Amino acid sequence: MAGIHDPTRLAAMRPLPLLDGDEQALDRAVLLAARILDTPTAPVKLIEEDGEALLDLAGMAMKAIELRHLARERQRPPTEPAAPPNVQRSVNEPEARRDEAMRASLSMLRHELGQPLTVIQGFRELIFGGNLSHEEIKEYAAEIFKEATHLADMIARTRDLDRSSGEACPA
Amino acid sequence: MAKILVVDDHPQIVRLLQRVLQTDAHEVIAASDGEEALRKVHQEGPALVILDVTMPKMNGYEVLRELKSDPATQQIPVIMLSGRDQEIEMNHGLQLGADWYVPKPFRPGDILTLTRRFLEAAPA
Repeated sequence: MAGIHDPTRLAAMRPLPLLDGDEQALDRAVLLAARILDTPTAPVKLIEEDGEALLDLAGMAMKAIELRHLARERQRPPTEPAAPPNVQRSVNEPEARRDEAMRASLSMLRHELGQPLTVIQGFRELIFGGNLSHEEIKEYAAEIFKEATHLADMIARTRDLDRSSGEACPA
Repeated sequence: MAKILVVDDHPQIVRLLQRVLQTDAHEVIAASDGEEALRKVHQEGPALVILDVTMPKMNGYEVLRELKSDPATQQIPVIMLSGRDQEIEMNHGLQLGADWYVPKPFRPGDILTLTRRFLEAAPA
């Protein structure tokens, strides 16, 4: 087996790239989530009709949220403490610190979204793979529904956060 | 068929992995935190461990360190699961002796492929 520093091995472990984000992805995800919450049909029917779209939109929403985080971090002034006058600091240091903070916040975001996305993607793959009993399909569809609701809630909260920060700091 | 220990504090993830691994008729045992994981490794002697990083009591890295420093358990392949996909996190897990690192969200099919690979490669 390849060594731990083998770059090929590390690259193979990276997640597949998400769908390219577009500016309307978040709105579309929220609209779909609202439709899910308002739809009086059984969760199984929803998964059949919207399962693929939900996954696509979840991926795009994630990308859109990442882009918003990225933009916000870039706008934030560096919180660099004043350097002693006799110490020459690199001009790139505050930027490097911001980049590090941004990477950490994106990592946290991925961690937060990873759980519902894994459940949605995983159970959907099982349902569409066949070989499940009717009871299993109902049970797993209910799990997808629950996590989709959780995801929609997270997206809505992010949007609220954006709105409130926009009000506090008008452009 | 093999005995596989799945360690994750999210019951839905455990249920998902249980169902996926049933495809290959594996016996799946579960633990929801690091301490329980170590107990079950010694009690049950699994052929493979699928281990989440972020967990209560002991995190996945601490469990991994224990497993890989004990001659009785260091040969058991460990697949780490994590929502944190930064290179530094992956390298940390691999340096502690993890055999593979799978970022969340993952595809169930990928987990099946990996378990087949590690179980086939395991010494008899």
